[in-house]
Amino acid sequence: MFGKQSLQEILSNLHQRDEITAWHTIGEKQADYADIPDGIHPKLKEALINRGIPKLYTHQKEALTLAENKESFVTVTPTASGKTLCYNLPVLQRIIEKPETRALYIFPTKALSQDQTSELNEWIKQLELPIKGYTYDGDTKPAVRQKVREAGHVVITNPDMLHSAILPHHTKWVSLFENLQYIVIDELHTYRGVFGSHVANVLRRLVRIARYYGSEPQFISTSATIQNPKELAEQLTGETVEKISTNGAPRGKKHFVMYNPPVVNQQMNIRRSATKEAQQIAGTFLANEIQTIVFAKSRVRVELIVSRLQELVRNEYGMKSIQAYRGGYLPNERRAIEKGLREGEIRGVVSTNALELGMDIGQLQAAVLTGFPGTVASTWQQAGRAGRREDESVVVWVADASPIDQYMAQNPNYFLNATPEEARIQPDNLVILVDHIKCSAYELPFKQHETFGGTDVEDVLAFLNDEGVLHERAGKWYWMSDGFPAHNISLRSASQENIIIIDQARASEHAVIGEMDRFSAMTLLHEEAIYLHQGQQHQVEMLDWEEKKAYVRPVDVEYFTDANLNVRLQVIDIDHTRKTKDGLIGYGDAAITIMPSIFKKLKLSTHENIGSGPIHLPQEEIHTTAAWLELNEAYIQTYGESSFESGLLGVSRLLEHVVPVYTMSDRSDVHVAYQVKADHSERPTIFLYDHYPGGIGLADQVYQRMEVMIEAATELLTSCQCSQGCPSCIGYDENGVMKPLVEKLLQDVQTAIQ
Amino acid sequence: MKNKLQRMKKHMSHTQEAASNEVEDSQTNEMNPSNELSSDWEMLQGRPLYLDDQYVIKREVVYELSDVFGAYSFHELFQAHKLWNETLTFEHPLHPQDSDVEDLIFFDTETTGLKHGAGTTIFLLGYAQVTEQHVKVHQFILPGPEHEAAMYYHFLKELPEQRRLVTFNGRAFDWPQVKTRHTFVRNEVPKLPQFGHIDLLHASRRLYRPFLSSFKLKNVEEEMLRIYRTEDTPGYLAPMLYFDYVQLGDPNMISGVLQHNEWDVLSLIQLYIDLSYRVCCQGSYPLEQLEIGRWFEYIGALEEAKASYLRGKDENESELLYRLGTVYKKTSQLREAEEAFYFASASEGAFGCKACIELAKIYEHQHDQIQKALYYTQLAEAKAEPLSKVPGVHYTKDIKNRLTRLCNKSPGHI
Repeated sequence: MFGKQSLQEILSNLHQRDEITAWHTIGEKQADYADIPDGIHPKLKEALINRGIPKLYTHQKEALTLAENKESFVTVTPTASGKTLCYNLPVLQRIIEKPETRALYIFPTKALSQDQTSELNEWIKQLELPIKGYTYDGDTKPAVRQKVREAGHVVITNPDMLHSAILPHHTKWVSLFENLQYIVIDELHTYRGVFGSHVANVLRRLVRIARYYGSEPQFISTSATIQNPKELAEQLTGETVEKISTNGAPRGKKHFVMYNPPVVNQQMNIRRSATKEAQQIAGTFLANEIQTIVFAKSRVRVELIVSRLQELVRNEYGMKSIQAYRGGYLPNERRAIEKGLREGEIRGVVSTNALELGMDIGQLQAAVLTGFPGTVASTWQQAGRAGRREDESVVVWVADASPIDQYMAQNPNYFLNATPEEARIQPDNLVILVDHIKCSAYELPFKQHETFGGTDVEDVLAFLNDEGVLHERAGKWYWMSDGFPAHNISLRSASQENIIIIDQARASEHAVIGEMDRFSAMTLLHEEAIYLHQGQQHQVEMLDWEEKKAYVRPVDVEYFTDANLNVRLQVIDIDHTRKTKDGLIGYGDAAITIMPSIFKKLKLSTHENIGSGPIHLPQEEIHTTAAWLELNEAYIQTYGESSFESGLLGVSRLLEHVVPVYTMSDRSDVHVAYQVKADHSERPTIFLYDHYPGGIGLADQVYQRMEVMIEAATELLTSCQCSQGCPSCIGYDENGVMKPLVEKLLQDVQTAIQ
Repeated sequence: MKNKLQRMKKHMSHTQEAASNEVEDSQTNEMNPSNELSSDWEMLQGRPLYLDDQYVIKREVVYELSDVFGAYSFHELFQAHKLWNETLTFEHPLHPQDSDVEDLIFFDTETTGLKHGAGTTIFLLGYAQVTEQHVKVHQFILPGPEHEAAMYYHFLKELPEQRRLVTFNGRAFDWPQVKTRHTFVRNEVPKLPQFGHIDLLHASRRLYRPFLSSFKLKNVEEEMLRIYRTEDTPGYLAPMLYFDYVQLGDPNMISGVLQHNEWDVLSLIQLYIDLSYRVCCQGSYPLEQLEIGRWFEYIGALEEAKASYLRGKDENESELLYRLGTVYKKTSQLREAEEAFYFASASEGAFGCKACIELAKIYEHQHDQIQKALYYTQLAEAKAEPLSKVPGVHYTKDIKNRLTRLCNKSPGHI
């Protein structure tokens, strides 16, 4: 073959492109080594050397020292810095010294635990010692379970299993709990929001049971780069946690390139498809023998990109040189891909976000990211896939049409300078707390004055006593119900279950094509709604609200539907307020009542109203926490009531786009509502509320950083290249008056909140 | 905080389940045994046994050996015990082995929930014991969750030395749950001893299969033992009633549960007698003889299996005859095997078909009569034809292979 370009040549060509909005280069770095300490067991040392590790990186050494001193710690180092050794090393060392020692590893997903079990077992095999490491999850066969419970030195599981299978049956795990020395929490940063708040409570229960059996376990966690790893680790584990963030692993020079596809329709601000652009860029790399990984947001897009790339390289390298990588692959399938990459048979891998979670398939020279994966932290994690230890590497991030992506592409500095997000949890959210107090009381009666992870829970116990769930006797609260509480409590979903979407056309297979939270379902899945699923229109034929099922059928119609939702928001308690120049920012408890009223059918091409109908659904109510911004009522006069209202609508839409970016949450976690005259103050108010009963700390974050959010909303609007509003900012407005109006209102608001 | 809890109440997971659980008047049961153990417990034949500041209520009820409860009188247990020791191999799961009659502990528990788990409490450990003099029901009743150590302490202390548990589903439910709860008090009470364990649910499933579709104890009692309970407190109410008792302290609230448990352990005696008779006498009609024989076959007691099958041999039950043939084959009695298969082969259906295949094997490999082997293989094929639609039956391929092989051995045929 001739005419191949080197990476440098490709990069200098890429540099010329107008679509590049930012080019950021990260310099190389030498490795920092430390000697393997003398205290390490000779067998372990030998195994390290056999695996080509004659010296440790400094952070691994630091981990070993902290572990020996019985301290809890979290390591925050990038992908491929040898972080698994930070826990495997101290754990194996201790088990060799004291064979009764037990360790519990917690991974967020089943796939990861299996991956890590095989990794651990490779070490154990080299040690040639009778140490047992087992996975314990829903797939573990009943016949092996007893062996795992009694003889597993290292038990590898996930939080759900811990919650519903291990803790409620702790009496079967006596040998684990009596000797529990280490609890390893990998991928700590994934435990945030509602899920993280649940997991924090599961860990409180775990520590409670361990102490009952006389153990004082230490926690070893690893996290991707987030703003507050130490704080999160301490909140999750309830312990004082040391942070290790000095990375001793070497790093080659790395280019981070932000790429925004060209505009093809100026008026509607439509850009070329990110998937196609990404595929083209990846194609250039692959054609020049540069191993590349492509990340796409959905499985369908993965398939699409794989087939196009395979087409491209078919003659030269064969179809097999491009592989898809999906979540749920078995360890041996992954090993085959890993091996293929190492030996050069595989040149390209296309993956969903599955790989973001610590699966180790080795490093590649180039990474192409399609769209913003939702958080700065996970973007850097995906980017971490590119970059072998010493070589130069490149990451190209391709923006898609979503508002967040466009905001990022047009404000590259936000992304490049952003400290990664904070991961927030709220373990004391009442709904979540009460659920886990029940589980915990089932596991072990509560004693008087006993705290739960430091939280005083006497009021909760008294409440559950009055509810007839617990019973107070002789200074203890006993579980007094015939239920099994863990079975009614899921860690992963909000207390309201999601609605599942079933395609009637494939009724025989009962094809579930998606799911949606209840509140969104009210406006998007009501009967007769047109629901878009991967570009295909579906009409909702029946919505079974009780059973939480929506039955849809593919259709091809010339209209879409738009539902009106009446949201009533009542402030119940005002916890904090702070005055600004001409306004007020508040935070407190709110009751939100949501009731859909009617829907309209709008013609696709002209948005002309061609019909409407009622929506028959019960109203929903949640009690949660909210942050709000009160403005001067004089605006109503100056703008005129209807203009002012559409101005508030525009601002709300912008906030909906930017808030998830700043709070590290999903779009459905924080909702925005506005009232021209709020019930509690009679003033124009924009509310941002936690979309989970009781709140999980997002509204609190919004309250503290309201100014930043407003500024980000303004930037999003001004940098949007559309002429009269588009779905990436405030929504399309055919009259073209809304965009300037919202711009002006935002200016006023910014002055008001100074 | 209190207001907030009330406001959030409807978002919590227990609200639906607990609604029925509320006790209107929550006057707490003051922990004063002397006060509480007034005449109420005496009337229920209960008395306290102490362990430090804890206690358990021990209730005892005595029956005469001649009392009839259902189909048998209690002293027939001696008869059953004798039969086992006189006639049968040690291997059988129902065999009492070296336990005497009075070492058999007919055991059942009442719990605060039907699911396994650390928080499901056993509030009643009950067993019946048959001695030379009488039948005695022992019940250890937990007066409140804080008295568990006393309950296990006295229960374990009173058990006889050579005990063997007889339960209904105790292997999967009661005993593991005893182990679970014992873990909580393991530092205060004796260790859990090793037990021999006879689980009658498993036995009932095998022996009553021809007669019953549900193997709930109540169903077994009514259909097989002629025990009809009147005004029984259903088991699923036990947790609720117990919670009420713990809250209000009136033992009469659980008197129905005590009665229920008493009946349970008594019918275990009946059930054991019935099952023992059936097995020891090797059944009294072919379907039963078949089941008993299969059980013996399963545990490797081929002679007993043969005996059971032989008793039903004349009734032309094809499965029984086929199985008799296979047992003869295993004990190398080929002539007898051939005869049994021959009788079985007369019937249509799966066992007729299988018997033909067995005959074909014998003719091919033992007698070297290829034509006869071929004949039976073809017969098997014909019998298999209507069966091929039955899910899970796949003889056809096997038969085809056999046919091809036999045809090759016998050129000229077909």
